[in-house]
Amino acid sequence: MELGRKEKSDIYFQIKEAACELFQSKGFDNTAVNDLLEKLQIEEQVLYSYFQSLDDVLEVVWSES
Amino acid sequence: MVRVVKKPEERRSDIIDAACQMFLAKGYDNTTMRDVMRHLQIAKGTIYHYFSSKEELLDAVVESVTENEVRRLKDAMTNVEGNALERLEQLILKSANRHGEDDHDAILEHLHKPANAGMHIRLLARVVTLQAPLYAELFSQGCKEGIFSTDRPLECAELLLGSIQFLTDVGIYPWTQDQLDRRWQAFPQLIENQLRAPKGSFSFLSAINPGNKEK
Repeated sequence: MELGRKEKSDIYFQIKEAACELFQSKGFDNTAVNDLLEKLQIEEQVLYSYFQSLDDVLEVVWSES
Repeated sequence: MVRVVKKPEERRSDIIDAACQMFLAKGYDNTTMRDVMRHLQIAKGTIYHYFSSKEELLDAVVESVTENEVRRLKDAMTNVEGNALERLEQLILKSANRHGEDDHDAILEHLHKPANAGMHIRLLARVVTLQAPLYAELFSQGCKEGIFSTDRPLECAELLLGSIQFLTDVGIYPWTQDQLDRRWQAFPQLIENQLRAPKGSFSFLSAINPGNKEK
């Protein structure tokens, strides 16, 4: 499925937002990649096209909030 | 990785100390969670547990540095006797004479990098907020003694501290030596006016001009 440019950048922000919520409520150590994928209803490959790992997501969320 | 059990307060201040060093050396923007993690050999999750954002960590670093300095000044002032003017002179000298002490010069050098301007401004804001009461107390003492006169000792302290800091800090802006010399020449009179202090009572300030020291 081809995503338009707006939708692509939306997903990036949605991932960050969802991750932030999970990290705050569960703590980083208790958050699994699956938790994030389920919350957003996206496939693994979508996540990994924006971030290298959950670690990477944390790094970005932490620097930007 | 060996798991070290540490008290929360100790862990928290370890993170703050490490972050302080890294922010100064690499610049706030360039410092990553990974940098701090590697420096301390702790997990990212641990850092996140104590500080849920980089900005929160920056605030804590700034607060720690500022509080240490205020504590140092308060301690240094406990046995200083005399009237308000004499004590004020001591407070100002102790504040200004930090060269050669601990890593103060190294810290200043790092703080003066453009990359650390944000941190520098925050530091200045907290310095004014936390140190103004020390000066305000002496202004009030001076009012009681009849050497000063002001209805707003705290705001007066904030105004003087804030503007003098800003106008003389070459790390905030590369002021020229002429600008600095001109200002330090004028400060005694401006302060005397603000406090309605006796003319010449603040002339000791001209000796503080950092430019004079380096000549």
